[in-house]
Amino acid sequence: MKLLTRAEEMILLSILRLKDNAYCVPIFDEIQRITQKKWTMGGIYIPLYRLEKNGYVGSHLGQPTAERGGKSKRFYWLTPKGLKSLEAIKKIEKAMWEGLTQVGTD
Amino acid sequence: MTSKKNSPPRLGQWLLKNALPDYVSKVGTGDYEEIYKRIVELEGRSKARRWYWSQVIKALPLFLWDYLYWSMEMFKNYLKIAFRNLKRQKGFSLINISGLAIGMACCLLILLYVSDELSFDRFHKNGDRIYRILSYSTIGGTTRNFAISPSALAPAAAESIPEIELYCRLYEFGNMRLQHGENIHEFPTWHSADEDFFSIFSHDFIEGNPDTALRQPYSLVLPKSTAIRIFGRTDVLGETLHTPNENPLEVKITGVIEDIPKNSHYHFDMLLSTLTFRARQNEQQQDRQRRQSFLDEPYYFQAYSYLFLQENADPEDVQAKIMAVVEARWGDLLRQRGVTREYPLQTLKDIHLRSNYEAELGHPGNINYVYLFSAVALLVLIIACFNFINLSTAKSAKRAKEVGLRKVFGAYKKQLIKQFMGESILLSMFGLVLGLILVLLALPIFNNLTNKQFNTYQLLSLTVILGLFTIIMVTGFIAGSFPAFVLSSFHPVETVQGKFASGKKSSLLRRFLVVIQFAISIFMIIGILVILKQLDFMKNKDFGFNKNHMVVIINRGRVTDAFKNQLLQNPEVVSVSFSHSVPGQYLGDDTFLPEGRSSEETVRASAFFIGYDFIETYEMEIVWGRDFSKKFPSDTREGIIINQKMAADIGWGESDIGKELVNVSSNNARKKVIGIVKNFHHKSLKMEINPTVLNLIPQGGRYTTVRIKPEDVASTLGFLEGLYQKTFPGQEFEYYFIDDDFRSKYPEEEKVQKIYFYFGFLAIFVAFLGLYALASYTIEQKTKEVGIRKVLGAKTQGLVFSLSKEFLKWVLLANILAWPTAFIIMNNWLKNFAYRIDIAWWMFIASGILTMTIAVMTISYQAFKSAISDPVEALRYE
Repeated sequence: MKLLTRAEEMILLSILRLKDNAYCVPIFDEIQRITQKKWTMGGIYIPLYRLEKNGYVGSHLGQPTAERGGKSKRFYWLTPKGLKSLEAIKKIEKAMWEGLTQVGTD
Repeated sequence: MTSKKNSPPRLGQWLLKNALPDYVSKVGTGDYEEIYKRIVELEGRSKARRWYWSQVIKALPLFLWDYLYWSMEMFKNYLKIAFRNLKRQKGFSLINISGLAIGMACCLLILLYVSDELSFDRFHKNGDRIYRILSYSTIGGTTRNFAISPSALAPAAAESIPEIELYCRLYEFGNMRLQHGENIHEFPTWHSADEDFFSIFSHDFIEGNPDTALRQPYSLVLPKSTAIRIFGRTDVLGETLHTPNENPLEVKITGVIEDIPKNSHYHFDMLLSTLTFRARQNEQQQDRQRRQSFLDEPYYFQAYSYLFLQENADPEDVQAKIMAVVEARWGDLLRQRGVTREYPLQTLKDIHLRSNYEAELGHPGNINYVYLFSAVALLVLIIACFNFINLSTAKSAKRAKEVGLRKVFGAYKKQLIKQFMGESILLSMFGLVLGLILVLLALPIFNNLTNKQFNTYQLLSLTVILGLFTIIMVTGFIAGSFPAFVLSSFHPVETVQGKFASGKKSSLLRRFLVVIQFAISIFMIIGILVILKQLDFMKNKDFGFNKNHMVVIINRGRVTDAFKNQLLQNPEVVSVSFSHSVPGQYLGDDTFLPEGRSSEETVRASAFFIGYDFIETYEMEIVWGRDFSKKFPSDTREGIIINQKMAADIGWGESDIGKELVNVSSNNARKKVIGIVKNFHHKSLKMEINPTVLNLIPQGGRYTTVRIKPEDVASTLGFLEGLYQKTFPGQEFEYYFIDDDFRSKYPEEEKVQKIYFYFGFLAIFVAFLGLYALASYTIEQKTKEVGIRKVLGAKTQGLVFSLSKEFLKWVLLANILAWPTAFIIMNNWLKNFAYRIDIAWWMFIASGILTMTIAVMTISYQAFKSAISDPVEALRYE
């Protein structure tokens, strides 16, 4: 299995955290909150699309709402493959941090 | 909170919708809008808008790149497949592309020609306000339409009609010699114009001031090339030139302009201010009685008069006012002479193409030819395009499997359409590149043919590039549309299973296209035959006089009988005559009142002024009566010869010889008819023979006509020149041949015929190319059928026949379609000529046989190849 990129990892984690409300806008907010940086919306569509195409996430359309100009939301959820890949990357990160108690102070 | 105020900027939305990939487009715009609304509520609209735009701008490259990346991947695949297809069917592709290339090259060349014809006189700044006064003059029931108008008319009109802002008259004269230092320069024509010429027409001045250049007498404006010819430089303001005679005219150069563009209806080597004429007249006639200058002469018919109207002036209104001015000033005078005149206005842009008047400046074009050529260009392109469609649809059966597979792997219909469209546009692009190369190669020949100077630079002008682009797109689109839409709608299962053979629908279309193609080719063949025949007819038409081996010398001194006798001493000289007029030159009119008729029954006739032996020299035929003769001294006073047409118009015959004609337009001079001459053509064959009279001038004449023997023309000409130089020392020996002169009477026709011939030939060639490819394709499809028939014992001839039959049926149908169309259109074209051929039935048969023969040859060649092949090979195909 290919390793996730950082952006993909963040998106998957946001979806996981948002549970039933995981559509693009909250995902976008969540990522901005975590990273404390401005993102462009476009920046998450492409990884999101790739994730879906490769089977890490699934999606379904919600009801159209007026506040979105009559457009519907697309909700995402993690597939087992997505979950597995998150576990894998967590394991790797843990292994990488092993023994390093504090960054920058030595 | 209204929803409208709160939605994001429209343009941004639209951009996003188009830039976002399909999979997020709907949802994505919703996402953006939701955040936008949140920002509106929290931080206000302007902030939200700024955010929205920054997001759009950031998103665009991202998505475009993504989109391009994937398109490129697919494009690479399409390209690969396209090239594989090209390579697999080399001959086929070659025919397909080269047919298109030829079609495009023809189209491009014709486009060049047509756009050049249409560009005439468009370079003047206020061209739409410039009008020319024409004159339609009716005397005794005949009307003649002239491009020129009386000198006095334009100034008189401008004086009393406020809508006329400016006017100017342009005069053309023959022959000018100018001396600079020791050098004398000869000019065959020269021109003169009124003060406001350069205010009306836009010309770039290299030296001098356009507003004042012609305001003084003795002012001369030179185009750059003339300045360089005389002085070798262009900064010649204030230099003087004079005519090399005893009472020299001295002129000062007041301006040097850029050379007159090729696409101008007038051209001049020099332009003199008309005020010069007045000044010179005053100077010469100080002691004599003052005479009117020709500039004020209502009968001096040589001015090309241009009016510059006020903005928004109604030309019809002005026209009516001009008629009122004419009535007030010259109404009585005209009535007295029995002349009805009309002075219509013609717009500047119509002068080149829609002018069919007498005494026109230069050789105007003809809008009908522009239409004809545009039609030919279109037809050639249609043929090439049909070929392309035909061959592509024919090939489409082979691509059906590919389409099926692509569909199975998830290709959208849209993508397939794009693929096929793209492929055909790519092919048409190849065709275009090849076509461009052909054009570059053919350009010198084409220039020669059309008598124009097109260069490569012109080919790359904006209009041509736009034209090219349109041609590529349209051709590619039309050619690609059938395979694109039909193929992409195939059901994948059927195609992959191989159930799909070339569909009924597509083969019907192919047949239809073949029929149209052939109909066009047949039409063009008939057209070519008619045109060649008409040209031949005009070349060999009996003119009523013998125009071969006739040398006309322009007399620059007084010719005498001694000169004539010296000429006749050379055995190569058959006959000599002097005259003021020769056939082919412009003739003036006279109005005659026949004896015993009421004063309304006048006849208008072209008037020749000829010397003794004229009729003999020209080998004209006297039907009744006799030629002028020195034995009848009264001939010099009252003798006149009329042509058959004139006699017929009056109703005179043999017994009427000796009756009187009164020349109403010339002091009621009384003339006696001494002979009636057989009708002869003295104008282009486009014009009908009109009543003509021959008057005698017993001495002198502007021209010497010499009939020479056909042997050793060069040495006879040498003799003529030698004798001329001896008789008129220092004068230039100028001569021409009558038949050459008549040929130049229809340079347009000859040009058109040639152009039409070549392009028609190419069109037919392309059509047959297509037929060849299509025939070979269809027969290839029937390989299996042929194999089985052979196994069952079919003979080669029988096979060839059955394979060809089908095609021939369509070619025959094409013939039947083309014949009536060609008949109608060519008959119309022939109506341009007063003397013309009839369209003969053999032309239709010939074109039918020609097309049939070529079709049979191509098809049976293919059929034969297929029929003699080993059936085992054919059946193993499966």
